Amino acid sequence: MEQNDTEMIDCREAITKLYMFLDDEITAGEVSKFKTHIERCGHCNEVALFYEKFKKVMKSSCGVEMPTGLKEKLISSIKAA
Amino acid sequence: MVETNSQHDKFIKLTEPLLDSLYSTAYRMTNDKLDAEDLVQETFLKAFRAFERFQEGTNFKAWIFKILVNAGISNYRKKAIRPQVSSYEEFEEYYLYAKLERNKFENTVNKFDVLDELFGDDVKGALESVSEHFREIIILADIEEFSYKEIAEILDIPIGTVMSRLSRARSAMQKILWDYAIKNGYVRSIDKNGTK
Repeated sequence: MEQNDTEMIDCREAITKLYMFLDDEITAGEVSKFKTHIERCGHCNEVALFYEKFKKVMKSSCGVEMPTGLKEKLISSIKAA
Repeated sequence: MVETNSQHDKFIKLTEPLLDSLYSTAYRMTNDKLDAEDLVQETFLKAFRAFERFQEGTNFKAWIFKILVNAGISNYRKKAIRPQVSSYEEFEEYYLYAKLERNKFENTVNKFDVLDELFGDDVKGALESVSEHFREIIILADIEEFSYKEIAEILDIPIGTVMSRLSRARSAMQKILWDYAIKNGYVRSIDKNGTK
């Protein structure tokens, strides 16, 4: 861990904010503090990369293809309505 | 007539790019192809009928997902019930990482490679095993990538509840995935059984 500059966040805060960072739910200012921290802290960086990948794996595992013809069926259903 | 047609076209234009997402969410919620198709059709018709009440310039995707979620709750929820995992009372947001870290000397496999092993059927299986509320919020946040605010709107719950439920849902997913990782031999654990 690095020494605290005034604008630095510590590991505890970084870990608390990690999911919000990945979910794009923190402000630009918080993002830059978060990034500064993980650039200097190998451990937090690894956790962040791990969960960034975890989110990607979740998303790409769960796609389902729409059955053929459903789109046309839907569109014609409201033409009749 | 012209008025009706332009409403119709406007509706199609807004809806068309979302159909894949709607179908895939419906499928994940019902776990049945025919039910998913019915649910999408119901959502589509309901949304079209309610379309005049949609305020232009506001978030259409969140609006139509709210209709989907509500339709799903009222008609399809019973069919979608899966054996629920109730023993996961302790929730930790970084469970999987923590477990991998704790067992790192038992394993030569890289933590990140374990995620590749879990990709696909294991993630789908875990998503089917968690409770309805958890599944719903994972789909909205991690798969459809709605913001916390949009999810709050879709599910009609406060943002604080979105955050706490999402955190618990993610932990539950990770506990199941850790069990799969052990059962399928991707990792070895110094603990006797997976979860404890």
